[in-house]
This record gives sequence, C-alpha cells and structure tokens, in this order.
Amino acid sequence: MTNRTTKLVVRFNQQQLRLLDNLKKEGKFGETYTEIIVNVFREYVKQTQDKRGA
Amino acid sequence: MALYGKTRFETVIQPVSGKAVPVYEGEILRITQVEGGQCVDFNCFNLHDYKEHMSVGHMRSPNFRKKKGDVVRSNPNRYNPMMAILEMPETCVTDLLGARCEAALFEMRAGFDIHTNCQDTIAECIGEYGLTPDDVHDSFNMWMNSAWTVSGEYFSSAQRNTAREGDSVDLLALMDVLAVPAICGGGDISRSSNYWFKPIKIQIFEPSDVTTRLAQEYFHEYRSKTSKGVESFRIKDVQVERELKPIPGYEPNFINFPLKIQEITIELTDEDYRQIQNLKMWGLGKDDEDAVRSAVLEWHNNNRARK
Repeated sequence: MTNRTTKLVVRFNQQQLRLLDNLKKEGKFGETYTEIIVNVFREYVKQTQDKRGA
Repeated sequence: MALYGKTRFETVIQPVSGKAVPVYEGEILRITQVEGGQCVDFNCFNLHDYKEHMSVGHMRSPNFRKKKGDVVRSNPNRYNPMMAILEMPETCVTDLLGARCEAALFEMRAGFDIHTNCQDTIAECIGEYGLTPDDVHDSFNMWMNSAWTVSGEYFSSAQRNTAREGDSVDLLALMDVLAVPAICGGGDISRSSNYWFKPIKIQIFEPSDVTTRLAQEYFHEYRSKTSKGVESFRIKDVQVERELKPIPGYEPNFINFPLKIQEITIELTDEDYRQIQNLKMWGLGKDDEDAVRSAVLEWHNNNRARK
C-alpha cells in the first residue's frame, strides 16, 4: 500500500451542506467539510463491510 | 377522574351508509363493530377549513398500517396532526393504499350498472356540509385485511375481515374536525366485510381533563415547525371558477431556487479509492463523486435521520 492520495471534487448543494453543518457541530467527524466527508465516507464503508460480514 | 367525558352523540350507521359528524378538539370519536366483520372507510376534514383534510398518502410514512398511538395527518402544506388513535384492537388491520372503492370499480370488475361504493357514500355524507363528490379524499380504511407483494401487486381484501363484535377504535380529535366514518360499499362481494354488510355504531364523547391534555400533547408532539396555514399562502382564496386560467404576471417562488452548489475537494488514499470502486460496483454511484456523495448521505440517513 502506498501513501499516494487522489484528489476528488465532490459537489453538495446548500441543503446537503446543512446536514454536514450538523455533523460539524457534533465535532466527531472533523471541523471542515473536507474532513467530515472523508471520515463519514470511511464510516459508511466500515458499516457496510460489517453488514456484509467482511 | 373519568378518562372520557359524557356521550354527546350516538348513532348506528346502517348498511350501506355513513355519517359526517363534527368532533371538537379533545373529544373522542368511537367507531364500534355492532356484529363484527365490517370494513370501515374514513374521511376527515378541518371543520373550519375544508381544504385541509386527511392525507393518507402522507400517513403512509413511516408505516402503512396505522395502529394505536399513530395520528391522522392533514395534507401539506398544513401537515397537521388531526386525530390520534387512542385505542385500536389488534383485530383492526388498517390500510392506507386502497384509496376508496367507486362505482366504476364494480362496473369494470363485475359488470354492475350500479353498486354501493365508498366514493358515493362519503359524497352523500359530506353533502350535508355543502361539500361535493370532488371533495371526497382517499380513505383511511379500518378493519381491512389488505396485502401487497414486493412487485407491487395489491389485494384490497386478501383475507377475511377479522373484526369481532364489540371491537372499537377511539380517535381523539386534536383539532375541530368533520369526521366521516362510512360502511365500505364493497363488502358484500368481497372478503373485506366477509360478503355481508353489517351496521357500525359511532359515539362522540365530550372532552375530559385527560383528553384535553392528551390532545394538546399529541398536537405539539406531532406538529411540524414547517407546517403552514392559509395565512402564509401566496394564493389564499379558494378558486370559484372551475376553468383554469393562468394569472397574468405570476412568477413561482420555488424554495431554495436556484440551488447553490459548493465544490469541495477531498483527498483520498488508495484504500479509499478502492472502496469507491467497490461501491460503484455494488450500484452506489455512477461515478466517483456520486459514490462518495451517496455514501455520505446514506450514512446520514442510516445514523442521524429520525425514522
């Protein structure tokens, strides 16, 4: 596994960002949209893998 | 302290009829099986503004089978809790899919020139209050053992009616309503009422301290902050003319339109990128961006959205 990173632009509309704002207030997933998106994405993957029994 | 107030109104609805009755905030409408085995259709209007009425379409979420503790909701933008189901026996299977039977159904299915049906029965009931057949809305069906399949097939009377003699449903009015219980008109040729019409008893109990408090509690618990009344409508008057014509110069004022979009650049590891490809393979997203956005919002729905 390398440490290489890939940049990706993800668009969210103002309503979707309201949900991310709520997560910002929680503080659990980071302080910026960038951090929250990546961390929530990883959490989703983890939950999905758990459900699939991976 | 008595749970309900004293009886204000009582009648027995004979086959095949119904009754439109005002039920005031804090009062209880009780619908009772006289013999058992009878399907009951139900309509409900705001007594002070008939354009606000029950919306079974919006009651289908979060469950298709309403039960004790659930509420009757009105059409958006009102979306008010109108009545609460205080009591409902397990024998009362409810249905929110069978809109209401109408004459055409029986004509097309069995060649009837005319057959009793809920559309016409309810229309006759609400006529007493100046409403027209066009004002009948989809029914909240009680004691209706319907079923459906995952592929969308619907069976309005999949099983025989399970109502027992004396079974009753108690609906608490959370606002002043015109309630319309009616004996389903299709029950003599289907399992919905076991191939025979039976009478239904309806009673209205005056408010007690308990029901008044309960009505307020239910209303506040189930009312949405974004519910809107006529005072907030751009067009407030009920149209009198039947012909629809555009209003010159009218411009729609859509909510959050045009939507503002923000581009956010994220950095992904090789492992993140591999997982994105997996998600796409499983159908979550047509491209990388779609997969990430979908995953984030799926997570939110699964973990933060209220059911």
